[in-house]
Amino acid sequence: MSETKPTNSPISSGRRQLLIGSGVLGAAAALNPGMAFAHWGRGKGRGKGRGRWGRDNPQENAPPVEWTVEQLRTALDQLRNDTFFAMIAFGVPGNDPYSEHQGVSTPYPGGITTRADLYLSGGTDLLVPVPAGFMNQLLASIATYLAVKPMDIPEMASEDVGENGEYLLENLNSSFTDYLEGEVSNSVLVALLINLAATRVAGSVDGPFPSPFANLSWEQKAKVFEELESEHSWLKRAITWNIPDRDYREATPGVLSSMVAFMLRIAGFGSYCEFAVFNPQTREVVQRPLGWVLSQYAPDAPPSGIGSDDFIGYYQGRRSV
Amino acid sequence: MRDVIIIGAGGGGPVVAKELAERGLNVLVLEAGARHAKPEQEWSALENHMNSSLTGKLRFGPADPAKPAWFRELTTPGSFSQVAGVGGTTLHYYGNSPRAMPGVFADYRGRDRGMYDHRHKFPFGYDEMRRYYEWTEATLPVQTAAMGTKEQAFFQAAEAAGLSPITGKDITHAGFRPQENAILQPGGTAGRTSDPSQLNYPNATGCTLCGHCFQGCMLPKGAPRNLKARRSTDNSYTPMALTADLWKPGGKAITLVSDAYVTRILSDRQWGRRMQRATGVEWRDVNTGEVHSEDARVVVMAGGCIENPRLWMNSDLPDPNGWVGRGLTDHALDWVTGIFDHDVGGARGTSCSSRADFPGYGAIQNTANTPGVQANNLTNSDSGIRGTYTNGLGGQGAWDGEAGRLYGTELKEMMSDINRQMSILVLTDADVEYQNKVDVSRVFNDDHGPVARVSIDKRRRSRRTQRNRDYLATRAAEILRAAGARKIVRNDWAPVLLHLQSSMRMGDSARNSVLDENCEARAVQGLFIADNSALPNSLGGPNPTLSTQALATRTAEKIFQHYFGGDAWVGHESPICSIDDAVTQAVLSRGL
Repeated sequence: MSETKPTNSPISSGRRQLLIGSGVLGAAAALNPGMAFAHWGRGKGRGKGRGRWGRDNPQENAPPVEWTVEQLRTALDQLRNDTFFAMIAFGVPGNDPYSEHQGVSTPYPGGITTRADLYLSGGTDLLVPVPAGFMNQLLASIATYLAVKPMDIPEMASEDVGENGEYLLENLNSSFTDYLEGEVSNSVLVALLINLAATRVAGSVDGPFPSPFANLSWEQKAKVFEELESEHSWLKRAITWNIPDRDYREATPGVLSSMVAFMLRIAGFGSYCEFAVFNPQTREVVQRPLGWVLSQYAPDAPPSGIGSDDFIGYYQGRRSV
Repeated sequence: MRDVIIIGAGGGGPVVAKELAERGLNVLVLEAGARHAKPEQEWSALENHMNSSLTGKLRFGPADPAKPAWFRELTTPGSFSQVAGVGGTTLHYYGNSPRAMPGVFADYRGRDRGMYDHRHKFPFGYDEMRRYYEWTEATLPVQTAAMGTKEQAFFQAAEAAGLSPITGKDITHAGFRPQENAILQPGGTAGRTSDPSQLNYPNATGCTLCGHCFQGCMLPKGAPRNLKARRSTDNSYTPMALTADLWKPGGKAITLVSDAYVTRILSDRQWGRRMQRATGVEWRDVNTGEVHSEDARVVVMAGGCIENPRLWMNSDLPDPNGWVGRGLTDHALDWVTGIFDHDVGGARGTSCSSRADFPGYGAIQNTANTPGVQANNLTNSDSGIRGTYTNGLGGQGAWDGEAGRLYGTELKEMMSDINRQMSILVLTDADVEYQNKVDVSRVFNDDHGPVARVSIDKRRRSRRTQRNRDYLATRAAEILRAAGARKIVRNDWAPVLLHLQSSMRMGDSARNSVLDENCEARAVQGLFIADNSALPNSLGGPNPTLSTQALATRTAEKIFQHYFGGDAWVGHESPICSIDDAVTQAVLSRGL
């Protein structure tokens, strides 16, 4: 079969780590489980040997898969969604699968029920008008950095994945390169970076979700953000390692900080505001937002209040000074 | 040719506009954002709809919601909380109108004078400023705030913590007090009922205690625009400026153009590059992209602490001492919250009606919060996530545990009953520091040129700024403890760019100020600045709007005297209040 395969460009070790560690390969495999490695998958549970790349597992007889940019876009959008669900569960946990998987949940709903994930992804996309070419430079810089300073994930990135596996990685890389030259949303970029940090923090990130970050425990998620927020994080070094444009290189840490801070903050705002139940025609909520229920705010809403009877008087009767 | 063109209709621009319109000058005001002419038909009391910095009605962005917000680059962690549009950031302010600490003025001789930012004082004395305060307080008007559940709890706690009341407008000693707010106090049914059918004007007048200052004030329903409760400039100075011909003999109504983004200040070079003369402005219609220009004898910049340096640099104006955009102060805001076993009215009543002032350190104030904003506030920090990591910060003190953001179940538990929370905002007397600055981005451009780039690195703040901030957080925690808080958390906020000051500062020295003692640019004749960026320092901590408005009144006088041969009026005439019947009749007859 390998005789009939078209030839792809060889893939560098750094780029390979980027594709695997950021969840691109996992997302692609989640969308089309037959694409590559029959025994590779995100099984339930966290035990060793689940969801690993392995020398014995490549599906040598699988037909070659040509990933189109559009297919990859769909896969990455799903990876983003998965990552953001996990992010919201991290900030405002509830009784959903992401909260339960991270080991911190509550018996009643949390941010995911309010669809704060949608708020978060929409907001991240609008947050910074990233210039064309910026993301490509940024991810290329990370790949270069990883080639020099590889992540400690030998079972995923360094071992032989077989001829067919190698071919599919190369094909995925080619499509990913084409994808990055088009319109890439900030939210996908942020999801890739969070997942890359998750892979670096936890090494092997097996679990039921395509997103490595989503498979972490709550404490591990905190370590991811410790890494992302640190003044001297490896990710900040990696993204500025080899950006050729000096102005881009100088701007990158600030852009990353803004996005990370936004993610952390907006998980709270998005979960407690009226976003999910707002009717723009009436400029009113159609039902009491979950965040208001959780915080016992405005028990009589809707409608929103326009006044209260909280007037007690004036301190010491003083009307003026 | 216009007499005066004013760039920006935020907290300061409309003050100059109204004062000069009252003198009969021909004034054009250009505002980049929206003009919210019919708030009752456009606004709501909802947080995301109104406050989202990306898509909300009150954002820093164009009027058209389909267009993205205007981006500014940040080089260090932080977030912006500013608003474009007629009213500017006063559209979401709480109306708090304290005077500055006397210690930040040139003539201060108090025993604690060494406690202030003594290298960056006002270039004139407090007594001179007082008469402009009085004029502005009478015009807005500023009134002593009423008390509700949370104010009563705060006052009792402050007393229990050993503080005494401040009983005047001047801050003479450390103590607590009701806010002096630019808010009409409740009258009629206002504050006495939550029944919406009972809260229409004129049955209800003034503040209805709805707690939605942050979402913009459009209440009481049915009130004429100048009689809406909160005195944001869209409700106070702008209606006066637009009707000056109707309520003032000899007055002339201003021309207001919204959706007009000024991209260049036009100037004549006079004596080489170091001295120029402003001749007019060029602006871009945000909706059509058309470019316009007009000439004027005087140009007034009032676009705010971030946009003014950007416009200056994009206009290639001279910066001989390197202080354009430098010395930005932000009150180094912080957030301390107590959780109680009983109801302390955390989300009820007015947005902010009580405070405590600490001369030499700054101030703190108790606020009411809606759920999304409160969750946002509790998750803002650059001290990591409490209980997990600290980013090398995470200070400990009178609060419980390490400072940091609340996350996961701790956030959810803290948010489980918003009326059992009492939150205190810390307003630090922050030093003017050269490295805190605004310049222009080398990467990001929009339709109006390179965008502003802001650098305000919290970790490099002066020792005095950090000391003051820690002191105030400690005092806040002590008050919460005295009130009976079961648990107290300090967030240690990453910079929230809301109370911005002094990026184009006035000063007594040509070495470290952009503006002279009249707020005229040292390097550009006929160019004045009349917003927070003109302030010489962070005022000692008090909220900046009133001081900016008083200073803008003084600046209007200087313009009238020096460029139009007029006389000063403050101290010689009586101010006309923005709720005067003559103004109300003018507003109604003009259909505002």
